[in-house]
Amino acid sequence: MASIKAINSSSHSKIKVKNNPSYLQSKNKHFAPVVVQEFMSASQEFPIVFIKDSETGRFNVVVLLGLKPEENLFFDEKKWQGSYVPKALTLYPFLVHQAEGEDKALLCFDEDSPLVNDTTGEALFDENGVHNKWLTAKGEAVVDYVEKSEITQQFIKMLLDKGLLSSQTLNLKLEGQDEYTLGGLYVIDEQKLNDLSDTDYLELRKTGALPAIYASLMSMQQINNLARRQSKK
Amino acid sequence: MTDKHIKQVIVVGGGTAGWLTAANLAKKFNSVNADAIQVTLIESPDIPTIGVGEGTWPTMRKTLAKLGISETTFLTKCNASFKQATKFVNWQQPAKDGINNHYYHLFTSINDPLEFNLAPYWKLGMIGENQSYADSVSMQAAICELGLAPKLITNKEFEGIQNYAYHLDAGLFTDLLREHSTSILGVKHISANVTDVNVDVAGYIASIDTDTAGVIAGGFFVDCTGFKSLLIGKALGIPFKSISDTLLADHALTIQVPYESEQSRIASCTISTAHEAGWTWDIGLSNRRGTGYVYSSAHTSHDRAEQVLRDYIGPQAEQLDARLIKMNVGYREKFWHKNCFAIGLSAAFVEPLEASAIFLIEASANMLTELFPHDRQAMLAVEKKVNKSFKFRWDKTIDFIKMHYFLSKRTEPFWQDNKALNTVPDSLIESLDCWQHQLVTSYDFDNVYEPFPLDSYQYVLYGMGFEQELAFNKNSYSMGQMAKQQYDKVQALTQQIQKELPDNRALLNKISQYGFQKI
Repeated sequence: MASIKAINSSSHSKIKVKNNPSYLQSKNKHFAPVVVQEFMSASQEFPIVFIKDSETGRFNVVVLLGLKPEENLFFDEKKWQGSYVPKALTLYPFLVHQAEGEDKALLCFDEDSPLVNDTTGEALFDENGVHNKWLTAKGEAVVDYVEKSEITQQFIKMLLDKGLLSSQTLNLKLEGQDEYTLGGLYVIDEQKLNDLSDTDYLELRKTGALPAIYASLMSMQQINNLARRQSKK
Repeated sequence: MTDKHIKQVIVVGGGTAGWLTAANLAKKFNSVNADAIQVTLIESPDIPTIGVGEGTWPTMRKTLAKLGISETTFLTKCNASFKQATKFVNWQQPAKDGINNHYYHLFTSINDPLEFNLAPYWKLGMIGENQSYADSVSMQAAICELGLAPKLITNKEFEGIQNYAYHLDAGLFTDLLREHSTSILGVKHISANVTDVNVDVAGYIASIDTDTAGVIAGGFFVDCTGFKSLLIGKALGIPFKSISDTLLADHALTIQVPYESEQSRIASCTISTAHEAGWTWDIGLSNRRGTGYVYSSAHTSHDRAEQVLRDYIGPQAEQLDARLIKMNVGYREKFWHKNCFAIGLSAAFVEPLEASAIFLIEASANMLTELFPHDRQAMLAVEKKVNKSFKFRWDKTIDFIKMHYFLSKRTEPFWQDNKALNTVPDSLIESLDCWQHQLVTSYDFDNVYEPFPLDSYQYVLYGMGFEQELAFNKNSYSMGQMAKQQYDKVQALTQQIQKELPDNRALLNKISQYGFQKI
């Protein structure tokens, strides 16, 4: 269980956070969130797909890390097995939280994370109770990510408004295994993209969405990459 | 005049019937284009709508999707909620020592009984020996008992894990349809009172006189004027055929009941409870319950009826007003005459036991749009078809409703009188005679416009405890193994689905916050 706490110098003066080269929180996760600004890099390694949040039904965009629930083909106890790491994974165990009605967001962390301890890793505060530089940098990275997430949500909204997403079920037949399906996925529909009116297409170009759209289209080729990784396991 | 193509359809009367019909026509004609057939609706600013129909059939999902109304908009604007069944309480017999009995008429079954019917295996005790028919063939009764929704927030609009219809606020639904019809579909709206209906020498309606909007002429007229039946009844003189000798209830008392708290459960089925001289409906909208007592004034006084309804509601009823509605049950001898088609209460009315009102409006509007005649000459053939079809549909609806009464073992005078053979249509008696020794089969449903499917009959027949003797021919039911498999599947899914589906109110709250996705 996660226990999300706002960071403050009085309660957390002794807290240290371990290095996380394996991105251990992604163990047993077959997807990780991505923001639109990293589609280009992410598309070199992972399929980029859209899924619905089970609590709200709203769309999020993620990269597939595996081809089965709870399978992360990039995870290794020692070191991440890929050349690109989705930004979201690098922020753990930090996040920002904005309480309803508050205009200020607070930097928080998951107190129950196995990375959090009193002895090893980076200290959150120095001996004077001031933010360590490392923590300040983490905080900035988290805030930057939140801003990018908001832009990503606008990107998704535009795709929906223009009717560019289609539901897609992956029928998978991996070596030595029974055929199965991975459902609940949505992808950009190339046909619908091609059918857009000139006005709509121009709008996509002007908002700078085209590179992200094509990156996500091409990223679907990475399913083969994942299948290859799985066959080597 | 007679060789002219129809360019103008005039719908007279607002309400659910008027707006639903106008919307369907305008959508089909593509009336937003100036050279398309145009639809005008005349609505009285002074006459409130009756708003009897607060329950739909699953067909409404298709209707809304066709009209381009989003499910999220519909649910939130009409205080609508999900309906998965009707739960019939104490219909079989009165409560014993304060303990109610009930059965479910569900929208979902494990399979289509026309393909593989589990009923004989259940009836012969080969599956679900100590279980109701409904629980043997569907998980939906358990879902309703637990107050769960038929779908998840991640399901797209109009997609269900279980089949479902809606409960809705008829007044708000009319408002939504009016807004959508006029702003999106190109329906012209005239707010005025009808003062006269002008009929030409050939007996066709030529125009409508109004108090503030002058004379409105058109080529085709839809009568949605409610019980007044201004066009088909008053102007064209088509007589009304009462069926009060078959369906004995003639009044309804209604009370709107607020929820006790914002956490109160919202039932995802209509609850129909039998009482001494009729039955009550209980429909859970997202913001309130709608309740009503349908009764026969020959068997009870209005005061006593009000007491029965208030007792049913409980202490909450104390501060609430009751509204009395007189019901004229029956239908016009013709629904379509010359260039006029009556849809809604102007055409027919039966008690809302199986929520047929809105369904038959949808069916009428669909048939009119599909068969719309291009001129007067073409009308003659369509008139015949429509009248035949709707006579059939109403007769079947009346039979089906009567069947609920006829199979009851209640003994109060109202229920006894309902079983008197001179009140029962011959067609119903014939069917029930057959079904005593044989299954309900597809041969009982040879018309594609059969309003109630085979499965509905089975839910009600077996739910009411209908005696059916199949043992003489039990060797012909040789698929016991397959029946057992299907039954086991139902039981496993019943357990599994309870963990997946959200509470009905919780989902409705989520919809108002996030809405459903379109894909």
